[in-house]
Amino acid sequence: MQRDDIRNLAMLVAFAIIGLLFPIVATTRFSQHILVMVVLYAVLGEAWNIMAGYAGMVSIGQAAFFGLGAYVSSVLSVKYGVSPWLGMLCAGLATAAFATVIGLPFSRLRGRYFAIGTIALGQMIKVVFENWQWVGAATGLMIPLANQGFASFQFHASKLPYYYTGLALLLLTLAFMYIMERSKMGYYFKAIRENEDVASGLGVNRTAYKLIAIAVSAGITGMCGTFLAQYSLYVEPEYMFNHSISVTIALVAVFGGSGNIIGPVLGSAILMPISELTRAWLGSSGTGIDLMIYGAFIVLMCVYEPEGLVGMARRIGASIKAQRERRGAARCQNS
Amino acid sequence: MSELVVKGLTKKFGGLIAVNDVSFSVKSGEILGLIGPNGAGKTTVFNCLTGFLKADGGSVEFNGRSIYNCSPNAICALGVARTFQVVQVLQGMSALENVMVGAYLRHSRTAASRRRALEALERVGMSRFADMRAVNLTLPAKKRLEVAMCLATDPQVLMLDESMAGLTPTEIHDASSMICELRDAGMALIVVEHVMEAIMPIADRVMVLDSGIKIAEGLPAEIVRDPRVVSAYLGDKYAKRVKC
Ligand SMILES: Nc1ncnc2c1ncn2[C@@H]1O[C@H](COP(=O)(O)OP(=O)(O)OP(=O)(O)O)[C@@H](O)[C@H]1O
Ligand SMILES: [Mg+2]
Repeated sequence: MQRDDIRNLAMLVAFAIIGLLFPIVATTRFSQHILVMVVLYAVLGEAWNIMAGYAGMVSIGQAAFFGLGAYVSSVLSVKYGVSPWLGMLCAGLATAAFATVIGLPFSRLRGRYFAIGTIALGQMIKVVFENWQWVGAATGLMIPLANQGFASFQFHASKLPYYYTGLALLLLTLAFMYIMERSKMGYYFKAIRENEDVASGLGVNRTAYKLIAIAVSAGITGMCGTFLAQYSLYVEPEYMFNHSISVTIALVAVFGGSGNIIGPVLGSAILMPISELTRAWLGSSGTGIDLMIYGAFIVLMCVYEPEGLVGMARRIGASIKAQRERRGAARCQNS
Repeated sequence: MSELVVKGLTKKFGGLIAVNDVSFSVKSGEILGLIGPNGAGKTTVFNCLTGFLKADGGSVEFNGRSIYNCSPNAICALGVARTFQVVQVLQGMSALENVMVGAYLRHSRTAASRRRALEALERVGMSRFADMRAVNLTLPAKKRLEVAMCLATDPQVLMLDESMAGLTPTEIHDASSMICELRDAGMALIVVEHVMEAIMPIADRVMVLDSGIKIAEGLPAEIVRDPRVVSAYLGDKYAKRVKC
């Protein structure tokens, strides 16, 4: 137990150091952009992981929370001059509150019906924002340029400060999940995922815990929305509520392996560069070849390794161990 | 001293009255056997008492407090736990983690919950399987695990739904002595069982359901000779033969 904790802490530190070293090689704006996307989707994947990987509620509508968060901070900043940092906090709280209200009827839906519900939610909110004049309807809002720096949460010269901000958000999220996984909350989430009836028979208030999972997941996702709004300096329904955001979030987590802490980070670290590179090389022609390659990759993964990269690593690890034991046994027999 | 009092419990599935005006009670330190042919309504009684199904009438009081149609988690929190006829465990989690979910009800901290869970696993003789994933356990082991999960919630009333079905005679013997120990420690138990050899020796009282109706209640020795019970199980012909 103790040794496990030390190993995990060492892994987290190593991870943070690697994260801090990346920028040395990432000197072009494009490579910096990829780094930013990797950390952003790692956080988004982890948020999805809380709700789907741990608590078993598969959402394909995270863009609803993401876009809402982006709009909350942007509206506060554009219309009331509120600092984007405070805006980010408000975005997190507002999306969590929204998710709790929405979650009440949603938490009664099981399995695929929940997933379908979240798709519908994502689309519905997008339509609302496309028609809401006060927040700029389909054209959205521009965030006015300010002097760059951490105070304004705007960086024009280099994208690296965004990367560091995202990395900090990721480390905070990972720390939260580390504690969650070892607490009553984490156990209750998993129990709900495994079997709702058994869980409630053992005293788990499933509605309450589902709502907590949804709210936390949505809150983190909303804060990521603020992050992207500050990164692009504009919000627009087609951009912030895009269904592809919801799909990408789920894919990153499933690809890496959900239900454990490291999976979505791995998924994002591999999928986001592929996605951005294929888009840069093949995209913008409007043919969607980039999406086809990306999609094929996902299909292969789902067919051959449904437990994601982490599942694959575990299996390889187990077979190596078995082989070593076999060799050890053979050696004993020989001598 | 705790007591579960059920009065006039009724549950309908469309036109079928699965539980029809059933009344009974069970106290600390007592084993109530609940028997009856297939489809008699035994599991449905459990489901209504533990909040998994909404009853259509009657009252259920636990220590003077109504738990009628409360939520399953609230009922468990008050001290009434149950196992499922078709064994239900948290497949993807280890045996220890399964029991810890139950233990968290009274112990919010992980270390305390783990300690309580290990005790409960020990109680049912499952300590050596603590780290095994529940999905990989054998059926008898899963049944024991389910009991450990319930025990970890520190129940005052424990309902076992055919926990001994499919066990070997030695396993039945072990399970029986564990059930008796729990009773002697002051728990109230309701035990549904088809294996008469298992239930009759340990039950303090036996209640018989047939087609949702309570047809008899009494000491085990009286019940096995009751003509209504014999006819419910074997048909009228045998009942007459027993009378002669
Ligand atoms: N969810 C349900 N919906 C409709 N009918 C049900 C439902 N559950 C049980 N029944 C019916 O209610 C009656 C009582 O079923 P129950 O499972 O309580 O019997 P039982 O005494 O536990 O039988 P067994 O010994 O086979 O477990 C049966 O006729 C059954 O078909
Ligand atoms: Mg039954």
